[in-house]
Amino acid sequence: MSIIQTKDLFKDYEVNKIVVNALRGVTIDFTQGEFTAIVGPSGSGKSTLLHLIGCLDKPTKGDVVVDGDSIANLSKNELAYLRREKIGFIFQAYNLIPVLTALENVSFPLTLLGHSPKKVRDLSYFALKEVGLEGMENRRPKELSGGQQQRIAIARALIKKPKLILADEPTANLDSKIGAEILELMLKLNQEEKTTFVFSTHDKMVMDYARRLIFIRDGKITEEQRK
Amino acid sequence: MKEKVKIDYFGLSLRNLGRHKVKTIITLIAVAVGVLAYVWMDAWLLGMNIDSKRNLINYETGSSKIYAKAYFNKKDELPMYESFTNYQDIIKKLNDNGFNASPNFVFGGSLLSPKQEVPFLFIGLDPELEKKTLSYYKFVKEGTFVEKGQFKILIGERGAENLGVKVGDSVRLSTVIDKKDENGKIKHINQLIELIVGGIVNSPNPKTNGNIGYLPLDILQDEMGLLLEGHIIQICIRKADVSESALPNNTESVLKVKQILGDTLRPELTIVDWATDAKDYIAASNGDNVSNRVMLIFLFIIVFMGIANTMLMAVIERTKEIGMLRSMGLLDHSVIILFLFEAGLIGFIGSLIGNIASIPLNYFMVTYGIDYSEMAKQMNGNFGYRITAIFRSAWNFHTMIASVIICTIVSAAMAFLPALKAVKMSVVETLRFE
Repeated sequence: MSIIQTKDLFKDYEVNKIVVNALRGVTIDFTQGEFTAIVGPSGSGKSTLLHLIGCLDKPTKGDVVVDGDSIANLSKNELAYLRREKIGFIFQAYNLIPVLTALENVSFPLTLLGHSPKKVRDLSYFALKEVGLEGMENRRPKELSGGQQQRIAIARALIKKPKLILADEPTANLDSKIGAEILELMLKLNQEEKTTFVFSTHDKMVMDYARRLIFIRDGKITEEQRK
Repeated sequence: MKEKVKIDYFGLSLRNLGRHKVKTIITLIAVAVGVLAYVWMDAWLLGMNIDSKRNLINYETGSSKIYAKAYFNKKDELPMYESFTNYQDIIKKLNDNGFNASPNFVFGGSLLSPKQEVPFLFIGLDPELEKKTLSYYKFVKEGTFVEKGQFKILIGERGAENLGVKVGDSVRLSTVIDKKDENGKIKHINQLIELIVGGIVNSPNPKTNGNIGYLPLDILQDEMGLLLEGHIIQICIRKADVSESALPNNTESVLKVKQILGDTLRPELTIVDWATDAKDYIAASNGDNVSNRVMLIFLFIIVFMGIANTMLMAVIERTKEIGMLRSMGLLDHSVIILFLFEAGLIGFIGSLIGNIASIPLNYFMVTYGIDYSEMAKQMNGNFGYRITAIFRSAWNFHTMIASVIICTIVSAAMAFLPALKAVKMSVVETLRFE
């Protein structure tokens, strides 16, 4: 079943009064439970594509359909609600809130969904246990290693059981051993929860783990591989 | 779609304030100092105003005065020819209705001692009625109060110093009697009255202590005096049973006195309240209030600019974090509220600290005050306020509460533009922000 569809997607940016065509007609489908990497060099358009399918931005032309909802006509707030309910994000720099504990960082998406405090607390403890951070609930991000912070970010993305998790270069700030551990964890969760993972990367290790590779260059898909 | 989520803005804001403790503390101190200065100044002005009003009413004007309309219109010129007579029925009616009333004849001139000639304001009065209406007689420092039939004058302490006289010395009153003849033409008659200094007064109202002389009304009636023949300039009025510390209320308002007097208050007479009569004090008080408040507004502008700067820096520093929160589905207005809460908390905590710090300071000012007697002396008491020595503050809980509310609201408002800047950027731009 298709979870994301992009239809002839164009995205133009203006940088210093020069129009940059970041995407030029990308049409692609992602089905539920995929573990896919969008691969390409810097400036190829892979992050732009990730942002569009993550409803963080709107296309200049074309459309994105997320779980049956077209984003073309959605307002800013409607896009926010869509992200809140259906999409989780993992960032290269973890982007945790430094003043909150590990538990509070993980629980934030559930708070946004309006769950009861008890449910939020129970699920957050469980999510941290799932990513191997049991006992570290009350630590602040600066008291944790890069790998542990990325695990929190994964728990935060997963806790609301979204249809789709988008990860922008999730291993770029980690050494290869920790990076492998993180990818193993994501793969395990993908298999257990059937959550769709889409990465943007140029890391060979991520490509090795991915079940599907989409190569992008100059804003166009040039090649696709399935394993 | 409506947002149904309850975000703990307060808890988040409190933690965010803890990110840069030194910066937060400096901003809090700035707010606290601003509020402390404001509350202190306000309490001081209020205290001075309350004391001034009491001293003015108790020792100078009473709660209201009756004049001839023609006199009141040019009161500053002291036009003694615009006097009135047949006032006894007015005083009787007021007495019968629980009011004290004192008839005065006010005139200008100069007082001469062997050493000096000094311009003076003179008030002719009935000692018994004056003592019932005004209380400066309690502050006769040397000698005695004015006595009926005696060619003795009670003068202000500074006036005595200016003249170089003491109780028992001879002085000469020099004035010009302005009198209207049958055709309405004003005649000017020079007059000299030989007097003895009978007493020296030093009351809490500087007006009574300056170049002012009080003398018995009865000695001014004939050719030895001012040829008054029963004329007076004003009647000072005060309710009989009121405490000296109380300011006039509705029971002794102009309207009330008018109702009591009815037709007894003849059409050519007018009644004015103490504030209308003491325009110089009201002008000085308003002027001081305005200038002090303008000064404090500038102080607050600097403080609030500091808050705006702190919030702008916070927004810039946390742009990427804001992007992450928005990508998780936090709505733009929630981001704005978060920053408004944060700035509002700075204003709230800062103003609370300022108010708490103001309590011991104001306690000292209310209980002991500051002695400005030397300054008041140097200014000859001519600075509007009717206070001679100790300037005390008064508690103003309205201002204290209002300062916390206003500071919180204005501080929060200061964060609006920086917060708006944060959500004006697209989510992608904020995530890429370096």
